[in-house]
Amino acid sequence: MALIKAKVRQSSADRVAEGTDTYVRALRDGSLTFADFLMAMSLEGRCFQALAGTFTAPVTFTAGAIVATTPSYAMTIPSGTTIIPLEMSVQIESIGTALIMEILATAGQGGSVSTAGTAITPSNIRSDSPMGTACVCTHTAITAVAPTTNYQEIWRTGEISALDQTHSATVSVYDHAHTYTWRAKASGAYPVLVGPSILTFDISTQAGTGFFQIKWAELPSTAVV
Amino acid sequence: MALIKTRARQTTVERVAEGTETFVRGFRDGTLSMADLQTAMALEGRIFEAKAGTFTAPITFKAGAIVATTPTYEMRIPAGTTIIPLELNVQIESIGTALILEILATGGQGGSTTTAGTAIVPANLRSDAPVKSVCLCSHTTLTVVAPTKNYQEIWRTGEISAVNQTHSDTVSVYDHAHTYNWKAADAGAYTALVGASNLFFYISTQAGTGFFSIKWMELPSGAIV
Repeated sequence: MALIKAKVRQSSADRVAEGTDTYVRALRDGSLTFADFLMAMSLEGRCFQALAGTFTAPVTFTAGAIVATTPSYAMTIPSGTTIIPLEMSVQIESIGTALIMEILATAGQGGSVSTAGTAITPSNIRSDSPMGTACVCTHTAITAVAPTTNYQEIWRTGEISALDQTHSATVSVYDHAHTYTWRAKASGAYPVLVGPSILTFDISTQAGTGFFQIKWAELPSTAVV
Repeated sequence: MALIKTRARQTTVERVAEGTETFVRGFRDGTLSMADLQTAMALEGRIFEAKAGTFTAPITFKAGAIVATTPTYEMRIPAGTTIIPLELNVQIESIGTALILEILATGGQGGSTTTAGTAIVPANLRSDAPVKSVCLCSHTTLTVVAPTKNYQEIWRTGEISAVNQTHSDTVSVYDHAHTYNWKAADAGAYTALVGASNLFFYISTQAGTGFFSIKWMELPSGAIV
């Protein structure tokens, strides 16, 4: 029976060409080295980002409560493509007056986008962009039909009542980052959206503005199903 | 069919020389000992840090809102080099009076630095510094051109309104750390900035001072693309 051996490359790594056979890397004590699969996907160029609101120009979120048919963001994953959402982040710039604040990301099959909003051109998070995404992403002024098959809520958060608060040196106001973030890795539950699927992202306050970013890993469905 | 075996080295570790073949280290129950890639890269000397503000001497952040052409920090990744940002950290020492607090890290290709600020010499996280970073970094009083290709927001956070608050035994003010932190390992989406690329880091409050640090993994692009 074979004992596994590896080549010690703690401080003098061999970096060989693509497709070349190479020794498994180990530290000097025989510990194997491993890379996070998501880092491997990023280095391959299979992770993307869509964002809305640029630099100091926020977008306007849905006023009032969220409505299933008018999400802030819609993403259509075509047949033959599968995505794994990795991170969703919302930065609120203004809330408005006191009202419920709702953030909800949903997904599934059987949904559709009736009216696309403002197109988003996703960027590859590998800056030389070796490949593009097959997904279609839009934000604001969207009408969509919610998924009918395997509907899931990927992330739901919010506040019972939120509002813009006046801060001063002495008045007691809860002072905190108005950033709301979901991460698949932290959750440990990775949604796998096999196309055709739809992902919608709803953000609402009384009169909210802000920014959001969504990052995902994307593969041909044949690599998954 | 061959069974895979490992050598139990739970308490009596062998540490052999670079390039030597060694048995993969196992625990007594057969569990393999693993080191993540970031640890291996740190041991190899391929993780770096740039920071601004030293010990008790903070730097002055941008006053007011962030401006695309005047980040707090700029980093030039030359052609032939790729970095993966691992951690960004901001510690606010003073905020000023009530105003929006904005923190934004962006990356991409096609940007440039018009006027460099105060040069930062990156430190190697391995203290004998077997490898030097080839990236150029500077902070404060600089002007840049934002990336035009594959622009991405690596991290965005902030507060709608932030202010220096007076704490006392009697006045009720929410007391918390003014530390803002992003970690690629938490995000699970690893940005890979393939040179020639830029990373810009924006920090602004009404009249803010504080410290920041950025850590990244750096490799020749030939090891990635």
